[in-house]
Amino acid sequence: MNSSTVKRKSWIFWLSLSVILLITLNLPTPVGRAFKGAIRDLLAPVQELVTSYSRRLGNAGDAIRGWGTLPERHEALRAELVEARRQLVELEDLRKENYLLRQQLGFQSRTSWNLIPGQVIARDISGWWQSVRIQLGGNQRVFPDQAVISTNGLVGKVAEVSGKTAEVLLISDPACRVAVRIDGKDVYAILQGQALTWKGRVLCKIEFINKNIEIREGDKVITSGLGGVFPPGIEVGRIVSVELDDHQLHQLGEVEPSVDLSGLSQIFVMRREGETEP
Amino acid sequence: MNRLVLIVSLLTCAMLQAILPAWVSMGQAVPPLILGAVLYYALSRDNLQVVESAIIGGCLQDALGKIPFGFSCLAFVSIALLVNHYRERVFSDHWFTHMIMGIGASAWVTLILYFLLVGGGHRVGLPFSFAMSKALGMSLLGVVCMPITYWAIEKLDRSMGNLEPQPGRGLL
Repeated sequence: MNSSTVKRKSWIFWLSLSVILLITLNLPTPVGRAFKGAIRDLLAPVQELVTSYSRRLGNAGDAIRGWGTLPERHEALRAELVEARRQLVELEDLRKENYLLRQQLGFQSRTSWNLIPGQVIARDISGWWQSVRIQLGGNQRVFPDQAVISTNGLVGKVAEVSGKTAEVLLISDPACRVAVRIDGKDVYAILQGQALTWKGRVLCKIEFINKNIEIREGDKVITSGLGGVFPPGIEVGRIVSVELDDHQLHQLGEVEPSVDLSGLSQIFVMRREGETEP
Repeated sequence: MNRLVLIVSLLTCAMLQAILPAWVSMGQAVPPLILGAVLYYALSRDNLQVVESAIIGGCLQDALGKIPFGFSCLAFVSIALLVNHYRERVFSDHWFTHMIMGIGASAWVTLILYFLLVGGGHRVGLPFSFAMSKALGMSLLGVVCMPITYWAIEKLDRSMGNLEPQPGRGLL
């Protein structure tokens, strides 16, 4: 092969590479999203399988480690179950009573929510976002901006959806903002995720709290329902610190989420009754 | 067979990278396994396959996360071509080289992605200190991941007949 052929080949190589990179970088958002969705859907079954096996391995390890405390844990869970059943009966009575009273007063019925159970199959592969992927997608009528919870409280909201999977942005991510209130007090505020601490502790910041109301460490933070994304009354976390902002106009503080966001497995997507794609 | 091994290796690395725990205190650094696979091809193959592996690896990383499509491709292609350019000047199949490459490449990719994400307005307000701690974390993880990934893919390549068998050769 003479030098001019080599030069031409090399020139074609660099030109093609530049064109490919330029096209990839400038793909219109819907096209890029469609590509991503296709790859995610293609890999979702494999990822589910890999995750389920790794989780089983982890569970087996936990079972071996916790063998000695098994009877105590069993006893505690049994007590918890009895208490939960008692509360359920009580709540059912209250629900009926509430329904009758609302009917008498002519109030509109509350929006009811359906919980779609799902499993976490992966977390953000690059670590630039605090997000997880779940095995529910558009096929299960999961749409962007739906709230996601676990048994302990608020997890985050659906950010991107493909046919078989959805990306959930966790409340600890700085891009996730939640309208909240302090439980038991008439105080409304905005909660925002923040970068992790050096010790790896997950904390969210809470801003714009009225400075005239006393907030204490340990106060429970719940969703206010303002903003429309998150239903009201879901537990978010507890206040761990509070102080006045630089301008002395509001209070701000830090909240520790009630959900262990690093060890998520089972979650629920909240869908309004009759909700259709936005 | 070469392409099959390339795709299987990248897919396996992507699956593992998505489930392995992140190093939260170091900017949520994740074990750079896909990058490890791309570097293997950069150190052991010619231009075309180097670019192929970098683009497929980049697409996988972008598709399985929230990074906009194409960002990782650019970062991977740049480091892969750089490593490939210098591979004749280093002992490309020595574990020490892989460790050093793991450090440099992980930091390079992290910083390129940081500038692309912040510059493109996708991660507004993300402090540079976060990127630095992430780059440090990724480099430390790269030191461990790169030799292991190289060894595993090389083993797979040899067993599939893409490379001459070298009986008795271990990781070190």
